[in-house]
Amino acid sequence: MVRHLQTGEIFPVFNNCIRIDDPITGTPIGVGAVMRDLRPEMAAKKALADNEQLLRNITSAAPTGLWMSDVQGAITYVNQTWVDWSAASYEDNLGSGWANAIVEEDRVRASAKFLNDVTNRNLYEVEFRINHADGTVRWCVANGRPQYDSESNFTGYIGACVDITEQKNLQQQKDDFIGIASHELKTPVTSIKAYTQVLERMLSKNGESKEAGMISKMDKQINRLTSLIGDLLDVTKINSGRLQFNDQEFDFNMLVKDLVEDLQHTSAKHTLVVDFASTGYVFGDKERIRQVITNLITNAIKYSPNADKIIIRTSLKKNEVRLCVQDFGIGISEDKIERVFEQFYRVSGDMQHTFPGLGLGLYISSEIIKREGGRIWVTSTVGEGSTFCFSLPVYNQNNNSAT
Amino acid sequence: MIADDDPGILDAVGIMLEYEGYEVDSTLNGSSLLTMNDKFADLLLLDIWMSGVDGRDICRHLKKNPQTGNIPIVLISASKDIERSAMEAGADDFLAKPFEISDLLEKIEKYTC
Repeated sequence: MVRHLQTGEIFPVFNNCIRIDDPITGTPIGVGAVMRDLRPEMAAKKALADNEQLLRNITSAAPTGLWMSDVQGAITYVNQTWVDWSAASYEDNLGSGWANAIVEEDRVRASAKFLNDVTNRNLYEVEFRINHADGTVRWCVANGRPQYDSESNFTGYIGACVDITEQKNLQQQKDDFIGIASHELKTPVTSIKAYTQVLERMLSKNGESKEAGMISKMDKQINRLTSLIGDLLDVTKINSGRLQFNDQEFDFNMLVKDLVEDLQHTSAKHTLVVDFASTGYVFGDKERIRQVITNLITNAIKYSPNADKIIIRTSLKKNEVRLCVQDFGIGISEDKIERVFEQFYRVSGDMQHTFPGLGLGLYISSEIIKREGGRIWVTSTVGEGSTFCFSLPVYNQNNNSAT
Repeated sequence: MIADDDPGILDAVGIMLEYEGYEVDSTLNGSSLLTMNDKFADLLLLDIWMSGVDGRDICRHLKKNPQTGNIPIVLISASKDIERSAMEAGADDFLAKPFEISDLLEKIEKYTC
C-alpha cells in the first residue's frame, strides 16, 4: 500500500523491482521499481465477480431449467433449478450425466434428438419426462439455440427446460372427455337412426312417399351429425397418438370411382368430373383414405357455391400415387394458405357464417396422409379456386418399387 | 338376440328387426348370455361396451363353449377402430354404430340362411 504524495490517497500497488548491476563488474549499483496502480484491476475483478453473482441469482430465480453445452453436446452448465429437479449434484449433471434425470423410456429418444440437433446446428426442441426429485414424473420441453462468437464460430448451445406437466394433464383430461362424449353422443344417434329407417320403410310400403321422402332427408342429417361426432373423436385420437390404421392392398382408382359416384348425390349443382390415369394398387387404410378423399371433395363442393364442376384427377408419378381435387370456388389467399391444415382453422372474415364445419376435416386428413407416409398440399388463387392434392407411396406385395 | 346396455337401442333395433319379420329377444345385461342353456338364438348381436362387461369377453366365452360355439355372433361398437380386436375375439362379423338398417339386415341374412 502506498500514499500518493500529492493527493494523500492510500491505495494498493503491484510493485515490480529489479536489481541493476554494473554490466562489467557485476556489483549491484541500484534498484529500479515499477509500481502499478492496482485499483482499476481490482475494480474490474469485482465487477466480474458481481456479474457472475448476478447471473447465478437470475438463473436460480428462473423457475425453468437453464443449460449450456459445448460444441459436441456435452453439458457445461446447468442452473440451480435443474439441479434441484434432477436430485443429482451439479457435477453429476455435466457432460452427459444430465440425461440420467430423464425417464428411462424417453432417454434414448431425447438424447439422440439433442445430439442430432447439435450436429446439424438446428434449433433444438424435444419433449420428455423426468424423474423429479420430489418423486413424481414430470413432463418437460427442452429447447436450445446454437451460439456463435464474434467471428461466427460455433461455440455450443444455450437452452432451457420448461415444466409442461400441467398442460399435458389438461390435454389428457380434455381428450378423455371428448372420447367419452363422442361415445355417449353416438348412442342416442344410433337409436334415432334405427327408428328413422324403420319409419321410412313403413311409409314407403304404405305408399306415403312424400312422408317417406322427409324421413329420408332426416336420415341424411343424422349422417351429417354422425360425421361431426366422428371428427371430434378422430381429433382426440390423433392428439393422444391413438389413431390406428388397418392397412390393406386395394385398387386406388376403384375406391375413388365408387366414392365419386356416392358423393355426386350430395350436390345437384356440381358435376364431379374424373380424370384417371392408371394407378394400380395402394397399400393403406382404405377407410381412412376414403375419409380423406371425402373430406377434400365435400370441401370443394362447400367452398365453390357458384361453380358447377369439380375435377378429380389421379396419377402415378415415380412410386407415388397422386390424387388432386380441383374446385373453381372462392380460393385461399397467400397469407392463409399455410394454415389451412391446422387444427380448428376455418375460413374467417365476411364468409364466416356462410360455411359450416368444425375446422377439423383438413387437420384430420393431413394427419392421416402424413401417417400413411404421404404428403398433402394445396395450390390456390383467390377468386378462381383451389387444388388440393395428396400423394401416397406405392407398395406392391413384395415391397419392391411399383411398376 | 340383442345385448346392449342402452334401452333406446334395444327398442329401436328390436322394432326394426321385427318389422322385417324376425323374432327378437333382448337383454340389457350382457353377462346373462353366459348362463343361457336353452332356447338358443340363431344369431347374437352383441354390443362391445356395456356397463361393466366387455362384449368381446362374452364372445370369447360363448365360442369356447361347445353348446354355444356355433351361434353366429356380430359385435357392434361406436368405434370402428376396434374391428380388428372384435374379430380376434372370435366374432363372425362386426358393425359400427350408428349403422344402416340395410347393412345390419345384410349381415343377419348372411349368417342365418
